Amino acid sequence: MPASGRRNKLEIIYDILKAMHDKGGRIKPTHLLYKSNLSHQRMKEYVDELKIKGLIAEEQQSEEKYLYALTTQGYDFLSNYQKLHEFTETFGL
Amino acid sequence: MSGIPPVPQLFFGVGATFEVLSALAAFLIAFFGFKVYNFVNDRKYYWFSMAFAFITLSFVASAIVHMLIYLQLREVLVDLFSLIHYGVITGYVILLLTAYLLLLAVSTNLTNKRLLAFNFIILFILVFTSANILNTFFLILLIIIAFITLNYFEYFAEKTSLTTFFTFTSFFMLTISHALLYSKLVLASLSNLFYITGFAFQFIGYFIFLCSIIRILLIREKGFKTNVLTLENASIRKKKQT
Repeated sequence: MPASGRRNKLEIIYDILKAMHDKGGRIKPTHLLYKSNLSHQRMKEYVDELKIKGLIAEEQQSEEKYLYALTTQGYDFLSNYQKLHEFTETFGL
Repeated sequence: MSGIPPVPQLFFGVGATFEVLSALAAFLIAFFGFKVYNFVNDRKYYWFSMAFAFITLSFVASAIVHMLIYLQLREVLVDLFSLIHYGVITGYVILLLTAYLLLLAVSTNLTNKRLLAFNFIILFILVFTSANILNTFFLILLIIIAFITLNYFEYFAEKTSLTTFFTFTSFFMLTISHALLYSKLVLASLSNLFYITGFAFQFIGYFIFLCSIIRILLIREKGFKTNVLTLENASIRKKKQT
């Protein structure tokens, strides 16, 4: 059973994707770091995993600048979040 | 499902219907669990879904046997029926033991794979080398479900809501159900009412699960406006990467 007060993985992913959505679907890495409330290392781990799962993608702006963008699957996650969260809460996962 | 008790023929038809509905509840939970696992990639969702997938299979197998008895095919398919019955009971024992052990592991946050494997090995040896496999199986299952119920009671006490109460109640019903089934199995002189009531409690437990999962599936989601431009950019970027 999850310890109360701490965000679980599902909630952290939601916070990351919601932060991107609130910024119009694209966000700078530094803004995401601030909005997600995670350490740099943890945020990198989450971002890498979300990229692999196709929930977000990287958009190159120039040689050194890039943004993270929500993909269709990312929007799909946000749309289904309420159900996913309720499922997790109901079964104590 | 235990040996075949001398209960009215109609009971097997009703029992098979109950099992199909219970299988539906377990299937929906397993399906939704896999969906969450696909998004989150967290192993506990995988094990939780696998547990309910095993429970689904065990209910389907049990419903087939009960339906064969109800349709009076036992007398027609004499040899084949005993083969099916033996196969189903063996499968039922393996599937349910694995399923509830996985649920116990998930509900106690047991992540040590070696410890989990050790539990599996010890329990399977204990069940399959005992003089009475079904008695031992039902006793172990009762203990495991009682512990799962205790964990869900603690979760309910910590996070009090209607949904957590329903989950706890479902497992509590399953504990009562298995206590009744085990009593009837050990004390054959007890009324068949114990067997029927045990079965009914099991159905109530899974019916509550079915209501919970249907409620989740009917939740109306907030609309998230899709930024089409972003999606196009993302797909272009993805193509470039590949």
